[in-house]
Amino acid sequence: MMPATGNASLSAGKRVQLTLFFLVFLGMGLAFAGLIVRSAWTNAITYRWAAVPGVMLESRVIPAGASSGSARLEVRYRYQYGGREYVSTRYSQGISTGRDSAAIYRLGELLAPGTSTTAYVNPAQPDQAVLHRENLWSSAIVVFPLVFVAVGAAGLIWAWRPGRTAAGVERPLSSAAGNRDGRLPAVFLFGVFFLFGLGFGIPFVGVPLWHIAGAANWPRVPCRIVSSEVQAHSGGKGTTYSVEVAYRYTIGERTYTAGRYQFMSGSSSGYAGKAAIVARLRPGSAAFCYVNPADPTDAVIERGLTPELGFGLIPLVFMAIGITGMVVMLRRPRTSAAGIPGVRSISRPAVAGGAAAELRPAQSRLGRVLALAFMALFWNGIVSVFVWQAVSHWRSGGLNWFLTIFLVPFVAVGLVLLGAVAWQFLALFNPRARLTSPATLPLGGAAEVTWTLEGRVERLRRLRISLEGREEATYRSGKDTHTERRVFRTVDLLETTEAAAMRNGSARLNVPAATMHSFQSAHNKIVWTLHVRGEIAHWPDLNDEFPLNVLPVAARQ
Amino acid sequence: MSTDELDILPKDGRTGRRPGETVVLSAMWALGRKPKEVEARLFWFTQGRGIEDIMVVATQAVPSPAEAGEQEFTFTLPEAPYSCAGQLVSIKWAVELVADGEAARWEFTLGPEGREIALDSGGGTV
Repeated sequence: MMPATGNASLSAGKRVQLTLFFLVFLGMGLAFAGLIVRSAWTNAITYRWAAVPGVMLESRVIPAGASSGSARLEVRYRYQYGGREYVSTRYSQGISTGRDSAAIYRLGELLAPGTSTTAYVNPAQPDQAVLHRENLWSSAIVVFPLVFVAVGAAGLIWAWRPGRTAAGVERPLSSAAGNRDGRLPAVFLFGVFFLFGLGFGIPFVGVPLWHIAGAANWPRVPCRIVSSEVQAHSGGKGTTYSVEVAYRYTIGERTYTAGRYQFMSGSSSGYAGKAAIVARLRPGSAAFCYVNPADPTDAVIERGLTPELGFGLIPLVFMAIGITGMVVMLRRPRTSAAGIPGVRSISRPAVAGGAAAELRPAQSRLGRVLALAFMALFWNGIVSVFVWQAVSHWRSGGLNWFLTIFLVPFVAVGLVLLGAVAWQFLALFNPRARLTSPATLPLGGAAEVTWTLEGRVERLRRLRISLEGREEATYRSGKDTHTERRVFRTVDLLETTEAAAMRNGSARLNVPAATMHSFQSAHNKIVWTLHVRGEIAHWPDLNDEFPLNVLPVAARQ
Repeated sequence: MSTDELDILPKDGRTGRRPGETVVLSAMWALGRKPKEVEARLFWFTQGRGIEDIMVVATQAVPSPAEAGEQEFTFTLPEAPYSCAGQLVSIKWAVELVADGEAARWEFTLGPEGREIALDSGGGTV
């Protein structure tokens, strides 16, 4: 019998490590979930409070300071309950969805002094009232910490689940079948990518674009700038900036104050651009804004596309990776087309019935260049955001040494990737090998292989064509997935330095009999290929592979 | 710690098997409770450097299993994959008797000669 599998084989040290790791998950999740639930409850109880008419006595927007978050709303209102009159200054309580300065200014207009409103009063303590009850769905945010709670709890159960239950009795290894083809975890991972992209894409791309489209027909109205400044936001990834502006405009008989510069909310790096906007919108100066004809409190100064929307491309990249990954994973066949589980079958057989035909390379050269270019673009795209931060610091007079030194290895990897793209691009111009052979052969079988090399064959110093059997194992190390390859069998067909022999020829291919056939499972493979290697001085070598499907003896065609 | 007993073994005692061969196995179980399911599973699994992959090829269940019992199972072995042993990838075959999350396992080799294929480095020239 084999030793017990899975967690039963965990060492005591490893189990302690895992326990601490999952306890942190569980603890953090519980702490945040507790805070959210408490806050959500405080909001939820206001839904049982009595709604009574009220009148606004005062509403004042306190503009944002240079480094003090967004603008603040102060309110004072009067209401009656149980025959007595009360005054409250509380707008809401408990969980709160974040409001930017633009929303605060709008709220200030909607709650202008003298406006009739509705106050929600605590019947048990009538001096306690709010003007606004947050939507109960906002409590759904508790799902995020609960994910941590679930991961922590599941991890602890897994780490401490007993393995062997009695002498000679084990956990069934076969029960893990189906969980290990790697598709579901991969689909889940790509799904998280997609949702992450969607989660950021909606507020940072979708909503601003929706507003921009909607504001296309808003009338242009003269306005007067009340205040304007660049606000700095300090965070873990450095300082970001936003334009904080307040302006007044008149619609009909009434003057309104608004605080929205553009539809894209939030802050971004780059001080100079924002400073130029603020310099243009000096307090007291005249400007134009665009006002929603259906709601005069809704206004904006810049209603078009702004450079900040470019950041919206980042979530779109995540969405694209997520959706592509899910489609690729779900379309991957679980078993081979040959009907024998685990026996590798080429998805695009060049021939049927063992007839010779031109073989297709495992990967096209252009495909290799594009794959590398995509990787280089993705890597350097992300790194460039942080490099831009570092450069912005440097240009504004400071030098963030920690960030600069931290970025050095990431930039180095990015440069290596760009070098690899250039190197692979040169390989596009190498001579091209065309091989003709049956694509499917049994163990112990034989066939005639013919080759033709097109292009500048005279540049090749040496050419070698061989049949190779290779084992491939995919494993995880930390968060990364690696594939290790090892050639276990080589059968040479040609090795020459003569240009004429390189240009075209043929050889008899004898597939070894007492060896392993092609095999493919989710993480392990036995791969047979015809390998064409050509040495070129001071240039990328010719290195092309052509997969062969080697069948078990019993499955001979 | 439970006192459950499970066992499964071939009637002829051989561990080296050829593709297409029929294997007859004797299984017994004594669980101290009436199990929800008792079944034999023929499957292969990988070992080595990579993440383990497992494929159940055939399953035979015992209808209405008692607390303890004996059963004979007959499987016709498939053509592939062969058992093999490499430095990165090894493929093993086994039949498991599974009862309510517990199992007994009998491992065997499947190959043209009834032996495991060694993925050792070798070369040759035509």
